[in-house]
Amino acid sequence: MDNNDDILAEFIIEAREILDQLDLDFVQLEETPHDKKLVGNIFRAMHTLKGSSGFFAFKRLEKVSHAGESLLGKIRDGHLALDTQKTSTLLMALDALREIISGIEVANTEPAGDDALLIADLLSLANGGEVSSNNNRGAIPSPQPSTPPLETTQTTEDLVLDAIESEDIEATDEALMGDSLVATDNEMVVDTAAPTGNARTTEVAAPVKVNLELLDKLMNLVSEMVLARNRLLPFTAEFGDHNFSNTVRSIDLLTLELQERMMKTRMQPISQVWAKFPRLVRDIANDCHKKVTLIQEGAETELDRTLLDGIRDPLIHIIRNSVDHGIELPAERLAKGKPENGKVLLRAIHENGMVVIEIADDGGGIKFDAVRQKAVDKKLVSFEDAKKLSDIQLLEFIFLPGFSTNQVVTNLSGRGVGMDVVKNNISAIGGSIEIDSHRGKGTNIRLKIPLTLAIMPALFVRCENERYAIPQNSISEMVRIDPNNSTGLEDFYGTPVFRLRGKLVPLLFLNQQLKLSEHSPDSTKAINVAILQSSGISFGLVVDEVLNMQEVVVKPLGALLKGIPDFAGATILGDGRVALILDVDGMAIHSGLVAKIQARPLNPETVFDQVREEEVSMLLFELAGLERIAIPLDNVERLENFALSRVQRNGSREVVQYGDHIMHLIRMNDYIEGGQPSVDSPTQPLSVIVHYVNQMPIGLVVSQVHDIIHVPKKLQAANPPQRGLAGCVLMGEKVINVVDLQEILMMRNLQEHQKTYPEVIDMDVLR
Amino acid sequence: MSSTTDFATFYLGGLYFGITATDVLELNKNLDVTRVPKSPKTVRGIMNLRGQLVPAIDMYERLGLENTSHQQETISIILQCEGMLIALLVDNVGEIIPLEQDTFESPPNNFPKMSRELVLGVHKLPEKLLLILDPKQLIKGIAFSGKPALLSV
Repeated sequence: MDNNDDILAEFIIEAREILDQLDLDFVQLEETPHDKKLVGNIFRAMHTLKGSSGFFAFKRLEKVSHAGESLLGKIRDGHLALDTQKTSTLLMALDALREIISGIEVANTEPAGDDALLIADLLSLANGGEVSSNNNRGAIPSPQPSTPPLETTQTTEDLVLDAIESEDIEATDEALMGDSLVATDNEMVVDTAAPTGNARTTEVAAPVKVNLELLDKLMNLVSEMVLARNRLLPFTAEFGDHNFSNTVRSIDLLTLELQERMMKTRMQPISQVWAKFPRLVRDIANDCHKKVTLIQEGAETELDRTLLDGIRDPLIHIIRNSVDHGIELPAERLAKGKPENGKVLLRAIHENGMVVIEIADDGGGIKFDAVRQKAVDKKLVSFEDAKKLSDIQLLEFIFLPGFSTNQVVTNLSGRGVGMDVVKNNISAIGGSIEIDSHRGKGTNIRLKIPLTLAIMPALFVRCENERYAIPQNSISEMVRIDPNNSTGLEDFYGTPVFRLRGKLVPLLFLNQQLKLSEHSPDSTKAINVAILQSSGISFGLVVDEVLNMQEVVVKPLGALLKGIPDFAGATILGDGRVALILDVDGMAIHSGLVAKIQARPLNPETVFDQVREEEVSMLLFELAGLERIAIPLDNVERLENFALSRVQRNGSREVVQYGDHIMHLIRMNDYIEGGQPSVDSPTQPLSVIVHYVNQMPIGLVVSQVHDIIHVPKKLQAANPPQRGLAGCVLMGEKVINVVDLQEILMMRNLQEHQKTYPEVIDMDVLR
Repeated sequence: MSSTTDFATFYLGGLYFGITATDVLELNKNLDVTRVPKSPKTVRGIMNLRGQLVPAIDMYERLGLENTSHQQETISIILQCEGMLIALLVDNVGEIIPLEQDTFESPPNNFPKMSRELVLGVHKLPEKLLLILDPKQLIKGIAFSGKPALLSV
């Protein structure tokens, strides 16, 4: 390896980072123009860039960064104030630098090009003048009286060269010694922000840059290692050799840790993608003469690297929509009584093992009437039906493939442009998208993204003697339809449906969908149905048998087979066989089910409306001494039954082995006011509600699980407060008590240290 | 000497085929094949080759031959071609034989048109003909047309 090449590669990487940071800093600076520290930072970064360019003798880089530095120097020293024009020109300079860096990366030398105009602008501004060219994107004519550019007899080129020679020979040297981007004697990267001097000693622990390909290979190997471990585990029981078992156990633990650490290496903060957005928002807002502030929350939230790549384009699309179409012009906003400055909020949070990214704006909301018109034009609904559609129903149209075309952009300039593409991109990485919009108030789009793509929980089902995996994130529940105590299957305009808690659910038969066989299930026998969510509809997938839940490593099917819409990939099972992973969205769309349901909604949408606005789903269960207790469904990950023999003791706690984890059991009746000690019958399995806290399962033991109910979201507080209960809701005539899971978990943790439940819970102690 | 090439050979429905040996990675016996519903007929399914998914090509289907042997045992020839791995399912494998360029001829005219596209040519051996297959063409005919245009981004 050529040492120079390495140094150059480092230079390019570091220069890119500097440029990205400068992008952010400039936009920030525009908002807080008097932030001296920030100006100082920007000046220093530009200076560093110039110094290193000098070292590599990249003349273009050096000249542009020098001119930029001159202007920044004036601003830093308070001689000039930053305005939109100056920011735009400086940003243009950044773009030019970026372009040159890209050129260097390709050819190892600077690309040819003429920056004279840009440099002239920068220097003219630095001298208190105006920009001479009119290629200044987004520049708003300055209201202040403009001073004519200083008279100069020199050409710009001369001016620059002079400037470099006169002021900055010293600075260039200094940059080489301390501020330099690359260390010349070895390959270590010098932190540009670190003070000169003894920085080197601390660099030993500095992060190492690793080739992405290598990381992917390692990840793959670890995944295989996990599967090989799974194949190894059964042998311990077979041989019964103590030493062997112990060795296998340590391999087991090591593999688990290896897997967890490996996953971490792929996690990167979402700010990596977001870093470009302030600039993006600023540019778009300037282009369409709007005032928009971008607010970022949760930028430190981590996501798998491959997923980060996957969300970049959809996010750009959504943000562009928000600024371009959502936020109104300043005058319009003022007329509506809104602040002149529009807001776009970008927020990332963890929720139930997924990352939720929210993009909200306080603009005009989706132009529902335009969507309605378009739906009629595309013959998706009749004119009469369209009039009856609620706003929420109209939102669903936005995601239909091909719903928005170029004409929509120009004629209606409504939102929802290309949202089907956004949706497809998000689905492709296992995520889902929700949209909520209110006229005049704004739009809120929520993307739910899995933490990682490589490994995901999936439910295995059997169909025609073959196993298939369904990604868990699209399954809402499993139902067994027994024709003896239900109305069985019915027909709704040619679509088979069944009734689930009073609502019609359309059915898809997996064997027919995969063209494995034609027959429908025997109408006298019970059938197994997985209720799936996709493309805004809920449908039931009929399978022969429901097997186990398992974490799977997703592998692409490869070029020869990737065109089949029903499959998202495949995975290798513990026994070495391959199982296909179903693509729920693909099946729903290609079976024609989505289109059918969209055209002819199954259930009166008022019910749907209420669920969205006021109702919340809860799981109804029973405890010893307490008949009707409910827990919000959001807190329920899975339901399990455990034979009593599987329950083991760990000190005072009851635990069971659950997948790769030890799951602690909590007897709910011990924690809730009015609960009575339960008596386990040795033949009856324990009913357990699995809840995850920090990705660790906790089993809530209950007497019996009843049903999922929809109840008003607003709880009526119990007075006086009752231990373990958050309040109650009314369902018809019946009072249903809702558990306070947080409190129960707290009580549980306190018990670790104190044998009795304290009178008062000190909230601070718990933190 | 100058133009000797090694060929990996196999038997299928009474015919004798060869593939440039450098394209062949390995041979495997009786690997489990998982059927892929809705896949082209020529793809019998996918196999697990030490953690890699490999599509298994039913060579009878691919070459348009009638499967008369119906033998239980299948041998997979793992090929590396166009940057991916594929497995050819065949009845039986023969030896690797070095052959000179001068026994090579273009495919005879009386070949069915479909298989003529797949066969680069024929080596006339003393006792039988060796049909040389073109792996690139083998793959080319299978690849899917892709998802409907509406869904492509």
